[in-house]
Amino acid sequence: MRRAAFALLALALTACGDALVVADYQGEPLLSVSGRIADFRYANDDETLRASVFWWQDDRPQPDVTQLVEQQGVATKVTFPATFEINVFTPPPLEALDTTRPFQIGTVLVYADTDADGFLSEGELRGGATMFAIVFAPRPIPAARSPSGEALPRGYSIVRLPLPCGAQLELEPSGEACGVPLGAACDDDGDCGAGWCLTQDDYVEYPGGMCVLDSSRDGCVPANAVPQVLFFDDEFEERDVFLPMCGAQSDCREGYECLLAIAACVPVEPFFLDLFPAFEPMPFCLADLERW
Amino acid sequence: MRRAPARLGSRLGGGRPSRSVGPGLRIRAPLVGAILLITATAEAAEQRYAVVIGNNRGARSERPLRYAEKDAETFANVLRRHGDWAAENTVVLLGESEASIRRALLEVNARIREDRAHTTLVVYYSGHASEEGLHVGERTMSYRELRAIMRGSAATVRLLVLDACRSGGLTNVKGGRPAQPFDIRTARAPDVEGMVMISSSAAGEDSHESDRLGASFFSHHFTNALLGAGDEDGDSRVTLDEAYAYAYKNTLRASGHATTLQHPTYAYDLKGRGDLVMTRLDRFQRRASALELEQAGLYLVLDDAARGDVVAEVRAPRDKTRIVLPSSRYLVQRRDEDHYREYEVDLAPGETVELGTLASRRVSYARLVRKGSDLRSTAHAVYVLGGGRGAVLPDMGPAMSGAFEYGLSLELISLGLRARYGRNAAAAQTPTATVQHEELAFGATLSHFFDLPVVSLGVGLLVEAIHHQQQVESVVERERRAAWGFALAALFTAEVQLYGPLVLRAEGGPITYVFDRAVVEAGRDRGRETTTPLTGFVNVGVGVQF
Repeated sequence: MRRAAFALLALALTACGDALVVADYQGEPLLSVSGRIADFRYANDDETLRASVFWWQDDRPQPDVTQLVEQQGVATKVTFPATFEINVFTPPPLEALDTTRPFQIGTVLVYADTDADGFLSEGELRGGATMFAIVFAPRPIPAARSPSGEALPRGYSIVRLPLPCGAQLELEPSGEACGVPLGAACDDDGDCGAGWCLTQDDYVEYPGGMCVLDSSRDGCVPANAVPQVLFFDDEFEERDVFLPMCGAQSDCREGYECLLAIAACVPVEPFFLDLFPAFEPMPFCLADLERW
Repeated sequence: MRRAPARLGSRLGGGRPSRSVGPGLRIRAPLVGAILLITATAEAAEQRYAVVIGNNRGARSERPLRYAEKDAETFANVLRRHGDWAAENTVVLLGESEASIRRALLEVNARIREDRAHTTLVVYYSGHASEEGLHVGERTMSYRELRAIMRGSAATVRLLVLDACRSGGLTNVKGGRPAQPFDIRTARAPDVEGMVMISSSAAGEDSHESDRLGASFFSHHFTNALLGAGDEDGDSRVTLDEAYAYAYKNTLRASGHATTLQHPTYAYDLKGRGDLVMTRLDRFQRRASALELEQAGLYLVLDDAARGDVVAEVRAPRDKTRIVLPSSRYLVQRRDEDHYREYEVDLAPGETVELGTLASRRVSYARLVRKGSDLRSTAHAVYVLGGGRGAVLPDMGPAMSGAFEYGLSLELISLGLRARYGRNAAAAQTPTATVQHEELAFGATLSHFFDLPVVSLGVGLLVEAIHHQQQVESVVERERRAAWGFALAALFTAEVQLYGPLVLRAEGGPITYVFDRAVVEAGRDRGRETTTPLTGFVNVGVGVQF
């Protein structure tokens, strides 16, 4: 009885206060990115992959891999087979900071350090982020000067690609109803009238379903609609659809976010890292992406 | 009866009230420093007789004593060797019956009656007694009869010494009764005669035996007094009043460690005044030697060859007090306030050794306490220690620490209370931050020491409650973490006496820390788990013992 009481007392004592940290503890991260690796099949079993944050050194629309600056102070955890966590504990390296610009844009790349030099070298790139970028702002950025079209706080932010990069979309909010409750939740096509119920595309699920309307056919253009191309992997099929238009996050249902570059509500997606052969970093801005 | 050591126990004798010793006997309560004077006789014409009785056995209900017969034998030896009692005039009765004692007393009295010289008779009894009389085996020899025999003796001077429980029934003095000091010393008067009775305890008190001394308190100190410890005036002659005064003080002091105090008492009926010289220290018998104690104070004389048995506990009343001892090797300890000084003495036959001329070694009381001492039961010390421990967190490296400890030494165990501050020798370097680890610990130690000639080795346990603090500094923030934990260690200690009360201590051992550590994933704190890392620690420092 006394031993048990002593053990309880000891446990109670050790439970007091904080837990002590060890040398691999780096404090609270300035940026934490976690997500999924979209396709692990392209990774070689004998390669140890590293994921890290890289920064652009110039204004070229498509980053040159050889000119990227790797972020220091990054700790990663990759859990087999397909989740990752990247914690950034320091600001971007000085050589990546352009003091003449209000922000710096970076991305997450995955590489196999086959030459074991600790850096990304030619031929080592295996994949990276295709739907998200990282913005570092030494000072808060107002929406008018923000690459994402929204105000960004000081420090790190994760922004979804593509970025409007100041481009103003000419939206046509007027239109007809076209017999479809565009953007409404649905269980099946019967809920969407002339449209159909979108529950999943090649990449993501549409939470609660979303009523959309094919845009490939000549005909009715619904009000507050944005044309987009969706991919469906099962049938290697492309479909042109109208998605609900938005101008702010509040315009979209729960589980959806407003992608300002296209002014459409799209599902909130986890941070994907895509691995595939001949991966190249993509341009961030919508205009550059369209030219890419 | 006399009280055996605690482990033997004892039984008190009858509880009848004490009786008057008769109209002719004046009674005085015991007093520290009381002076007992008796008629002295011309030494050349004096004949001395003694009946020395020792009996370990009392009534059936009384536990046997351990040292009564030994005390009697020692007393008789002192009288014969140093007190002018001829062997043929000294009757020693050990374990004899009441009838034998009565017969011996009557026979000696008969011899004294035939002796025309000035005679002194000493009757010494060591054994069980009650307030009624001596318990000699199953029989009781009443104080009335004993007084009658003594009073009827033709000896010029009669001295009756009883070392027994409640022997104050003889002198009719109750224990602990306050009394005023007095002084009846006058000029020498060779024609004085009379009777003196000394009891080791008052009427209602026990008399104690000591295993450490291997004797009763009273007989030990009375005998030591006769061997020189009582020679207060330094004339190499120990008078009865000197011996009694010494025995009284030290018996009372020694009984302070027992459950009840023991007050020796006396009564006298004298005509004339003077000093009775009991022993002479300037006359060594064969195989005897003398030791001159350098200064007043408390000395313990240990038999160097017999497992350190106590030969004499002597409180020297003055500088250069001389005590007589059998020729042998001794270990003499002089007790001071915060330490004792140890001398190795080799007494050759007929030799007088001055203790102050010998090399000595200062020893802390911690050792004395650990040996088991009646004089001190605790010793104290404070230590300042510095050292370190191994890593308790991965990649965090060792830590340096400083500690302050208070130590308490008891006979079997030594306890310690300590406060310790520790800090990582170097801040742990992470890719983006440094982690500095500090700990403030409050601990307790429990050790058992083995005292070797030069070094004392301790084995024990250390328990600490530890308040950990960590400071994590990165390029952008400073984070403080605080946590409680504890540690349990096996403690191995070595102590070496340096100079004076200074002691050098080295300690160390395996130590287990218990605390919660963070589960770190990708550089972040993602939870906690209790961990018990095992490492080692070592401390070195100095202490002051007192």
